[in-house]
Amino acid sequence: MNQDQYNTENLKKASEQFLNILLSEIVTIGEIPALTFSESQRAEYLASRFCEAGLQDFFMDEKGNVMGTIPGTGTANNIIVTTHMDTLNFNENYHISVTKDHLIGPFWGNNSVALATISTLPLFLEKLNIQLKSNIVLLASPMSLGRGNNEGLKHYLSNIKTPLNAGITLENVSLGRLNYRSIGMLTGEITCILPEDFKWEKYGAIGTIIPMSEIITKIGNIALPKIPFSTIILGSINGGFSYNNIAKKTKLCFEVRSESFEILKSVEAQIKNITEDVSARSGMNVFLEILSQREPGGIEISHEIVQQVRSVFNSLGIKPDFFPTVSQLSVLKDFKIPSITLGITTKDNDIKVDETDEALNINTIPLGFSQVVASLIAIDKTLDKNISAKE
Amino acid sequence: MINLKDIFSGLTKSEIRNKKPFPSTKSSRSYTADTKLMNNWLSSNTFHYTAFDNIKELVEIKEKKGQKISLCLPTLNEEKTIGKEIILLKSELMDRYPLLDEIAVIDSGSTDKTCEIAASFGADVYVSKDILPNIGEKKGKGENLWKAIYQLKGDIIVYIDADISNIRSHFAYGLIGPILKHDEIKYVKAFYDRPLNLSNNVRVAGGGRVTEILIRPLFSLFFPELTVFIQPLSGEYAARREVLEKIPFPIGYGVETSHLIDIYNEYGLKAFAQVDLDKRVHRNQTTHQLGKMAFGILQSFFKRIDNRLGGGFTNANIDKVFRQFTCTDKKYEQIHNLICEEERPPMIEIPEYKEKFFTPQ
Repeated sequence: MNQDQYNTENLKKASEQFLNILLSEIVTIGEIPALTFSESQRAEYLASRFCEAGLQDFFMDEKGNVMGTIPGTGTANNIIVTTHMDTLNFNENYHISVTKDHLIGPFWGNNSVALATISTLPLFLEKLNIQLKSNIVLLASPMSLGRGNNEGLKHYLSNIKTPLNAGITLENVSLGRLNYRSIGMLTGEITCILPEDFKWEKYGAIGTIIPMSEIITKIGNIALPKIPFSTIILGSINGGFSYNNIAKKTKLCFEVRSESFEILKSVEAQIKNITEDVSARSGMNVFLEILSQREPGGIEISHEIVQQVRSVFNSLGIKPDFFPTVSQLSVLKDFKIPSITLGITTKDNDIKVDETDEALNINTIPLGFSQVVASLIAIDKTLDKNISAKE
Repeated sequence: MINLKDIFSGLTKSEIRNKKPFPSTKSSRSYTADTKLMNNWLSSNTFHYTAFDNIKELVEIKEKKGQKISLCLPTLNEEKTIGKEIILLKSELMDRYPLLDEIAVIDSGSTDKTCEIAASFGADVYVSKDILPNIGEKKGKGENLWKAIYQLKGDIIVYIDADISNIRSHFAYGLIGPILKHDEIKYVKAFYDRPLNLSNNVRVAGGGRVTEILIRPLFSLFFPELTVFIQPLSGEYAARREVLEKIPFPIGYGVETSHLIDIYNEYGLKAFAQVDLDKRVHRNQTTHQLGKMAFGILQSFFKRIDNRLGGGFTNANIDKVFRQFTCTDKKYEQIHNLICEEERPPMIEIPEYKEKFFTPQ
C-alpha cells in the first residue's frame, strides 16, 4: 500500500489498536537497567527485536549502537530515527506500574517510550503495509546523558558511509514539542574537597559546604541576557553525611543553556574564575569539570521538514510547541542532517508518585506514535519530491 | 492400617510402622524413592524456558495439533499488577504471535479496580460466582481455577498468578512449550530463581518457606517421587484439559499440592515437567499468612493419604480452626481462623460441563 492512501485519521485508529504492543514494549524496555556506559542489556534486547523484525543492515557496533534499516522502495534517501538508550540513577529493583490511564515509574531520563516507538515501528509499518520510498534507519544509541556526551551517536555518525537526508530524534515527553533548533548547552561539575594538609586551627571547621554555598551565590549573580535566551540550572548538590561532622567533599552539578555559543563560553569562563577565587580564599581544593558541551544551531522554522511536520500536527490536532532543545538534535545538526525532535506522550503532574517516579499518560501514546509515523511519511514525500525536482 | 488417631496418639514413627505396613495400592504409588527414576526425570523433564523461546515454532505446533490454549488469571484485588500482566502477555502471545486463544480473568469479587483495568486492556473478565451459578459460590483461588475449566475453551489451560510484578511472556510460553512439544507431558509446573547464589556458579535451588518446612518433608515421607518438584507450590502451571477435568479441586490453599498428588496417582511422574522461569517478583507473605496456608494445605494433603491411614482423617471430627497468637497491651491472645479446605468434584462430573463439552454439536 502506498503512503498516500494513509491519512492521519487511519493512522490514529491503527495506533490505538497497536497500544498494547507499545505499552508492553515500554514496560519491558523500561525495566532493563541501562545506566550511561552500562547499556548492554538494553542494547541486546533491542537487537533481538530488530533481528526479529528482519531489518536490513542490522548490526551492533563496538560502542553499543543498535541499528537496522527498513528498506524503502526508492533508492536515494535515508531518514534516521534515533533515540538514546541510557538512563539516570536506575534502581534494578524497580518495576513500572500500569494503571488504567498511567504508566508509573522513574521515566525522567528513562527513554523507554521513545525506544519502544523505534523498536515497534517496523511491526506497525508491516501490519499496515506502509512502504516508504526512503530507507528508514533506526538507531538506538548508548552513552548519551551526562558524561556520555552523546558518544554513541557521534561515533555512529562519524563512521556511517550512507548519507542521511533527514532525522527525527525521539523523547518520551512531551507530545507537541517540535524542536528544530538545539540550544547550546554545557554540563559540568564543581567539586570542593578538603585539602590533605587541612589544619583545623588555621581554617576553622567550616568544611566544604560553606565555600560551595559561596560558589552558588556567585553563580547566581552571573548576569544573563533574556535575549538570546540563557539560563543556569543547578541540578543537584551533595556533601557531608551527618549533623556535626564537617563535609570533606561537596559536589555541585550544573548545566548552562544558551542560544548563543559566545554567552555559553563567557559563562564557563566566569564559573572558572569563581571556582579559582573561592579556592584561593577558602584554602579548599575546588575543581571545575566540564562534562559535555553542545553548540546551538539547527534548521529554520521555514525549513520544509518543519513545515511538513507542522502540517501533520495540524491534521492530528496537536498544538506545536517550539523551543530550542538539548536533545540529540544537536549532534545531528553537527553532522549537517536537517532534523527535528518529537515527544511521544505527556506527564501527569496531578498523580501523586514517589519523588523519583513520574506518571506518563497512556491515552496520549497512540497520538504520539501516529505523529511519528505521519511525520516520517511527510518527510519521505518531501525528500522524494526534491529528488524528482532535481531530475 | 495406620490411622490418624495413631499418628496423633504419641506413637513413634517406628511404632506406627511396626503396627501395620502401608498398603501398596494405586493411590499410594510408592513409599520409597526410586532414585534412578527421579534422576532421569530431573534430567529429561526439567527445562529452562529458553528451550521454548521460538514462539513462532510453538504456534506452528499448536496449529498442526489443532490445540486451543487459554490463559487464566485468578484475581482478588490485584489492581496494581493485573494491567501489566495482561498487556505483556496479550501483546506478545496474542497480538504478535497467536499462541493464546484467550486471556481470561476469573475474579473472586474484587473491591478495587481489578476487573475494570483487566477489561480495559482486553482480557475477558468473569466473576467466579456468575460461572455455573446453580452450583453455588465458594471463596478461594482454587474455586476460580476450577470454574475456569468450565468457562474457558482451551485444550490447554495455563494458570498464572496475578500478583507478579516482573511478568514476561515466557511465564506463559515456558509452561506451554513442554506440553505442545511432548505428547506424554500433561502438567507443567513453574519454578524460579531464588536469590541464593553461591560462588562457582552453583545455585541453591529450593522453594519458599512453606515448601521447605512443610511440603518437602511431607512429600519425602509419603510421596518421595514428588520431591523432584523444586517449587511444588508455585502458582504458575499449564495442564491439558483432559487431566484438569478429571481431578477434584480444593478451593483454597491446597489446590497446588492436590494437583500434584492426584495427577501423580493417576499418571505417574512421566506426565509432569517443570520449567525454570528465572526470577519472579511478587508480594511477600507474613509468617502468619503462611501459617494459614500451611493449615489449608495439610487438610488437602491428609485427605489424599487418608486411605493409607485408615480413613481417620475424613471420618474424624477434626477441628478446622487454625489458632495463632497475637500480643496486645502485654496480653497474649489467640486468633481463631476457620479454614475449611472444601473441594470441588472433578469438573467432568458436573452436568453443565458435560453438556457444554461433550454434547455433539
